[in-house]
Amino acid sequence: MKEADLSVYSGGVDNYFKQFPDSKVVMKDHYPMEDKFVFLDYSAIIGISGSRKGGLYVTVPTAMIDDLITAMGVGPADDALRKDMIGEVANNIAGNAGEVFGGDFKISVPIVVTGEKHNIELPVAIPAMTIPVEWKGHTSFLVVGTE
Amino acid sequence: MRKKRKNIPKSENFSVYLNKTRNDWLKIVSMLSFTLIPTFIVLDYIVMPDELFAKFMIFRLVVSGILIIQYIILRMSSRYASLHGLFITILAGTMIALMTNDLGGFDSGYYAGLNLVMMAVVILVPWGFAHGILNALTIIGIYAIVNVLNLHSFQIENLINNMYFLFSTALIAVSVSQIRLQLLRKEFDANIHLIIAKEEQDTIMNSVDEGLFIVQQEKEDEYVIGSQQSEAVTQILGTSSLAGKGFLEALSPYFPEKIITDLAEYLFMIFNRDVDNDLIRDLNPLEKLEADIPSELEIENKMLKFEFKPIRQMSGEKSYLISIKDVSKEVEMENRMLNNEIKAEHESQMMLAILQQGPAMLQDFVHGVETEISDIEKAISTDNNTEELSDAIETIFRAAHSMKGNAALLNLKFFAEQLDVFEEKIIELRDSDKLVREDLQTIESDLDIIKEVYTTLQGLIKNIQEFQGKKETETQETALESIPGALTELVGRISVELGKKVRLIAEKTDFTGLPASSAYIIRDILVQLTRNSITHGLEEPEARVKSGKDETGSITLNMQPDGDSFMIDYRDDGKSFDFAAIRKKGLESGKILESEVEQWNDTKLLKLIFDSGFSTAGESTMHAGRGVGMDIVKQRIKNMGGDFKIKYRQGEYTEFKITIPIKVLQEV
Amino acid sequence: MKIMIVDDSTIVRTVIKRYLAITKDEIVAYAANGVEAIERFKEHLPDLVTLDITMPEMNGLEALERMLEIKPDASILMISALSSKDTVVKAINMGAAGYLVKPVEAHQLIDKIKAIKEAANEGSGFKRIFRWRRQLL
Repeated sequence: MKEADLSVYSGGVDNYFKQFPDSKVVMKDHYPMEDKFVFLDYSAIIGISGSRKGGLYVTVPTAMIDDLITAMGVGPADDALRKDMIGEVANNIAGNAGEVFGGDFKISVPIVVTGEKHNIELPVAIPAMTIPVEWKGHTSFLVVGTE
Repeated sequence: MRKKRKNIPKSENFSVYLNKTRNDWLKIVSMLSFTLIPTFIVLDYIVMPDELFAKFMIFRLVVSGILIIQYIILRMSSRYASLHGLFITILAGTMIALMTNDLGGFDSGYYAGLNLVMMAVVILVPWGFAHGILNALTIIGIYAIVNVLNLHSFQIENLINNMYFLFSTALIAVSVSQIRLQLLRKEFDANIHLIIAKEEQDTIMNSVDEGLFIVQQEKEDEYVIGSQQSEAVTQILGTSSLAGKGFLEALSPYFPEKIITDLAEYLFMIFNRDVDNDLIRDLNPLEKLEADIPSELEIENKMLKFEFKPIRQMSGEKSYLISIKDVSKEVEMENRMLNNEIKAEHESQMMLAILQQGPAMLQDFVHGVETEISDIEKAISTDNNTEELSDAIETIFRAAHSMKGNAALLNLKFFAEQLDVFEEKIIELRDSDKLVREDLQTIESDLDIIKEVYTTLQGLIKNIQEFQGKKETETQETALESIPGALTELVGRISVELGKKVRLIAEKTDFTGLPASSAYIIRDILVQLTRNSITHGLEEPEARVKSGKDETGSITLNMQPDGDSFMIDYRDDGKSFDFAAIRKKGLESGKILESEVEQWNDTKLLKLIFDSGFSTAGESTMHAGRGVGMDIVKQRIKNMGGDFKIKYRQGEYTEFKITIPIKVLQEV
Repeated sequence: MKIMIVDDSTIVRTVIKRYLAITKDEIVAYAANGVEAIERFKEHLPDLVTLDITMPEMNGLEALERMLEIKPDASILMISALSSKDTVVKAINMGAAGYLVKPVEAHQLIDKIKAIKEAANEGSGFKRIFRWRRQLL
């Protein structure tokens, strides 16, 4: 995966959090990941097909997703809303990338999992890049891997 | 083409046009006359008294003959239109006047023929008032004079009646003629405006830099280019005129098929759907695009920018003005600026990194890189047999790897990245089956890039040293002492990047008796060991907690003289060697034979790690996995007549005890 | 105007509903996927639908086609995170009245709905004839 591709996804993160003008989103230096993928409380996985094959996932702690739900003006947060929210975040980041990558960039509906233990086969191509995303004092991760 | 008309005064211009038009009509009048006049012979034969028939026939034939001659003159020259008009008037008028005289003068009803003459001569030709009245009065005058000169008895009521009708016809004919003259004037002005507008349009179309033309939708999937286009279209696209061609077909040679299908969809949208200007702009598939333009000799690559501007035509149909710009230069400029920015960013990053380092470290680093580069150059210029070639490659490899490690140690990211690229190249060479001398020369240009970055770096370091006012000799003393600090930083950086928690504890650091020049070697060994520990040995925090360890891994370091030797005691509390992985890797790489796998015990496997080109990391990263780390350690120590021992316990720790004769260190 | 909101995310539906409180339009139905959307659409025949694209069961583009078959003069406003040019062009060519890329802010949605209403009014009856005459004269 190229560096330029990565900046498209981080652009998607920026674009998503722009709707909350009161808080700033900060992305730290990305690093490669080959196995032992990091999974926090809620994760949404999206498969990518077309000329770029692979996938991405967003993983966040419960406290952050609750803050997001509050920021959207919805709530109170429960498990269903949290899954809904994380799915929408992943969908936005992946969907927005199409503006640069064009119509050949196809994305799946998000699959949401909780916690570390799950039997989802990650569509992410290896080596994947991990971008730590900080918002309102919480740390979450965007992991992207495409061929 | 009626060009340059604009320069002639308008009024003079109109008189030329008027004359020409009058001449055209006169020809018609003349033609009508010389066909109609003899045709009346048939009527004469039926209605005229026998004695007059022959006379009238001669009249008619003579007049027709003259008119034919006039017609020929009219065809040859368009001058004297009004004289020609007057001539026909007199000729035809006199003939009919003479005939009325023969038929009974003012009492005859044959005067009606004069109305026909008046209509032909006055109405058909756009004379306007003056000439119209002149012609009409001439006809009436001739009628009156002829019949007065050879006066027959007549009833006054008949004369009044005839004059009444003749003057009424004259009035109508003159009015129509005047209106025709005015219309002609308007027509002329409109034409002049069109010509001027066309000329202006041509001037614009030939001088703009953009390719311009209009596209209209003909059928559902047919978009046609209009008849007008700017000259730049042919220059930019290198084709002849596109007028009348299909827009999609005209563009298909320049762009890939996908773009053309996207364009077809887009055109369908902008022509058939209600879209606003923002959408037309935002969804434009030809916003900035590479196009292959065939020129005389080769295919030229241009960056083209298309714009679509909607035009509502009078008919209410939609059409679009297309503008094409060649933005190759702008794009190139943008890229160059971007490159400069990146370069500047790298320099400032290196600057920042340098500023954070102690001068001793930097001096030492510069020293080390110089040695490595000269080693590489020596290796490249080797001109011996294959065996020595592969040795040369190994030397280059080790040197590059070592430089990379040291660059990473000082956080000189850009330099380290460049070295990583260089290393990649060498791996390719090493893995190729048939290595020839020329292959070595291919990396010279890559080495030049490294040298260039290094020169920049050296300049920066020098500037800073001058700025800080420190002399080389003063800084030499502390090169050794700065090692633990630099290692701590390296550990911090790598562990964050790999998602691990590690701390470095330097317990004893006594460099008594060691010259500053030995700092490079010692640090080099420690850098390789540290990277290796963090990448392979030390576990992720979660794994450590699970196995009952502190989530932060630790590396303990003791360095001190021990008799004639200098002793480095290095230990990490990681999971130690993964023999299963080493065995697997050995099998894959063919170093271990399937049949002998039983015989490979841990000690034997351990030796394998120190073989050049062996690594257990899955993919190589900036930090480890090239398979030279341990190899370098072994080589460096052996070269100095030193020795090292390994102690480990699976899942608990790995320890290296390294001894190097101080004497050798002093000679470096 | 009768409006229906289609999105697989509860949160997005809630947010759109809140935005629409400003325009005082009546929200007649919600749906969370394409299949459900078609059923609700047949039932309520709304004038305007906000329609997501990436949804389970049936995606938004298919739903768009089906809805316009059922009620050709319905205004369908796509609201999706998908932002590639050809997806937008495709949706508009299929008959969508507009396209907004997520995340959508209140003013974007309200402006768009206003524009759609105007276009729908202009497209009918005498107004169209008058506009045509104005152009001719």
